[in-house]
Amino acid sequence: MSMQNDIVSGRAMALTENSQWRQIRELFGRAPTLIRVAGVTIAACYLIALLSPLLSPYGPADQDLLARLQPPAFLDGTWSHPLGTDHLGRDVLSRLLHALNTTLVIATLGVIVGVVTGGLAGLISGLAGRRVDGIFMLLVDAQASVPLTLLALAAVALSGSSTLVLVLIVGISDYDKYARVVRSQVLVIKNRAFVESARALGASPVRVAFRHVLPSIVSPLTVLATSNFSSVVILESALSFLGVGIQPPDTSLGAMLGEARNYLITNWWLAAIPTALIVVITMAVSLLGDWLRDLFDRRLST
Amino acid sequence: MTDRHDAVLRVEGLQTQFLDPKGPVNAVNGVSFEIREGETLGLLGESGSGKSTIGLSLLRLLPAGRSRIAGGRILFGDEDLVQASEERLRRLRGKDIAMIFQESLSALNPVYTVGEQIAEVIRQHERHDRRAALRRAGEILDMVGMPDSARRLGEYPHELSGGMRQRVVIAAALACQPKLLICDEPTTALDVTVQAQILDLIADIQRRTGMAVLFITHDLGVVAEVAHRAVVLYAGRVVEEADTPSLLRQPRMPYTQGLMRSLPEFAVGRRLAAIPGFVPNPRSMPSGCAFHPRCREARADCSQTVPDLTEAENGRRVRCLRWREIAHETERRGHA
Repeated sequence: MSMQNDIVSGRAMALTENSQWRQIRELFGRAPTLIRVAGVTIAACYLIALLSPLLSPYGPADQDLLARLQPPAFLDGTWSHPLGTDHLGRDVLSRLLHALNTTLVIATLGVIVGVVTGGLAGLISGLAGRRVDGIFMLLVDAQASVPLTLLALAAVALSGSSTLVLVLIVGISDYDKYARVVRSQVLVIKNRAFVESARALGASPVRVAFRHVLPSIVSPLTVLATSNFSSVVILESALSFLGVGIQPPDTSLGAMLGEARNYLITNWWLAAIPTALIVVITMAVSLLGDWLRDLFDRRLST
Repeated sequence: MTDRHDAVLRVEGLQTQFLDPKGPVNAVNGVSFEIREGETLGLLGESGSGKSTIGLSLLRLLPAGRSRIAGGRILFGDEDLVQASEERLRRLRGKDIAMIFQESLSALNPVYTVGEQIAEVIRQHERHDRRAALRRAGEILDMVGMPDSARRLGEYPHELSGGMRQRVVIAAALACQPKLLICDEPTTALDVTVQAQILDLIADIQRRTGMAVLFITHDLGVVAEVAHRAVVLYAGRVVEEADTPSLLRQPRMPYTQGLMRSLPEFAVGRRLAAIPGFVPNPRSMPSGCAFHPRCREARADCSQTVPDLTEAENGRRVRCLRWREIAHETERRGHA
């Protein structure tokens, strides 16, 4: 009997571990074509960004001043520079791949920083007493009342620009949104009977927070993270455009755009190419986020 | 009163207050009772009588900042739980004293399987690895009469019926073989047939393990079925306590009598008599006996003097100025 139990309970454990992943794959298979295209696009972007050093025909900072401002291949250029060259004769394709890498790294890490800090702040705020809650919400309100670009400029002025600083800035810029959403969810969930029940059977506050409350807020947090991903990409681009983001010769999509602004009239594609990539990435992520939200909402309502 | 050494839990003068901006309000006002090993004590009261607050007070699960225990002692063995540290309480909860709540559907976390939830309680209190805890969870599910328990371990709460969910909740509470089980209306949300099964189950497990049970309910019928002794609460005070047969046969306090008259089972062939009025607001308690505005036996002095809880025959306790007269009268009427 006990052996049979053992086998069955072992299977039960394996089931719960595998089933979530399988469930997600199944749901994705049934998603509308547009969503699947968006998902594949994002996956492709990450893959290309990861492999950018291998895929680039030139180094991102290699200059060739004799071949300045050449048009891309589709505008009567040559295939030696498929997307043309910029004002210093650098290969636009190579720079684009490198910029994609930088932008995705900053945006991804930024979102993670935001989710973790905002999520923790919301969790503590929702579960702790009134006084702690008050302090945290004051901080969140303060955050919402400071113009972000000003904060970013001040931070860069104080500490100098680096990828790490940029990640922290774009991450923390959004933490208030996460904190608010998580807190409101926690306030609902902490009064649910199963939380009280867990406490009645000896669960510690930390255990209640991470084992009982956190799993229930993963879905709204995921949705929020995907929708904020776009705004983080745009924020990074804006900061780099303003010159406080990525510093040359390093580059990001926004930095490329910033450099191209002097050539808008004569060489418009220099701005159009990184812009197109920004639009594609943010659209794809937003579509995926909307789909996830509808999915979770429907599952919550049934 | 019984020998103090075999009482698993002794509550003495418990006073619990709700804190609100206008000042503290007494929700539980000097309640005393005790539960012995292997005994089921019914805690009977309407909504607003303070019965659930007592249950939460015992485990100190009252919402912090909104309520507090203002006085009294809760003796579990020799230990006063009112003075115990939060850490100590955490180790007691689920291990020595377990509690189950009314809503079995929402008492289980929807994101974990049945097995995981029972195993979690075990692993909080005993050193077991995941696998051993799950195996133990299977054994406990067998004990609470869950059909096909091995398969149920891997299922989620929404896959089970209400009665089965309540069995899982009971299994999680019994996982560490507590000495005291507090049941707060555990069967209210269930069908009558399932309700009977669950009551039988609790009684059966109690016979086997000798644990004490505190059964909080508004249902006199449930008390009649499971409780050895019953405490009747009104407006945060004990108004009558007796062993269940004598309480049901000869209720002394007019409130208990009223409860009996309002029950279909006890009023066959008669019109059901509701108790007029409502439970008083704890902010504006009536003077004298809290029940006097609704009491059909009330006299002038009932609104002036707060009656004491007086000892009557066979360990019965009654809180009524006129209980002796009323007892005489009922007996005379009974003989006539």
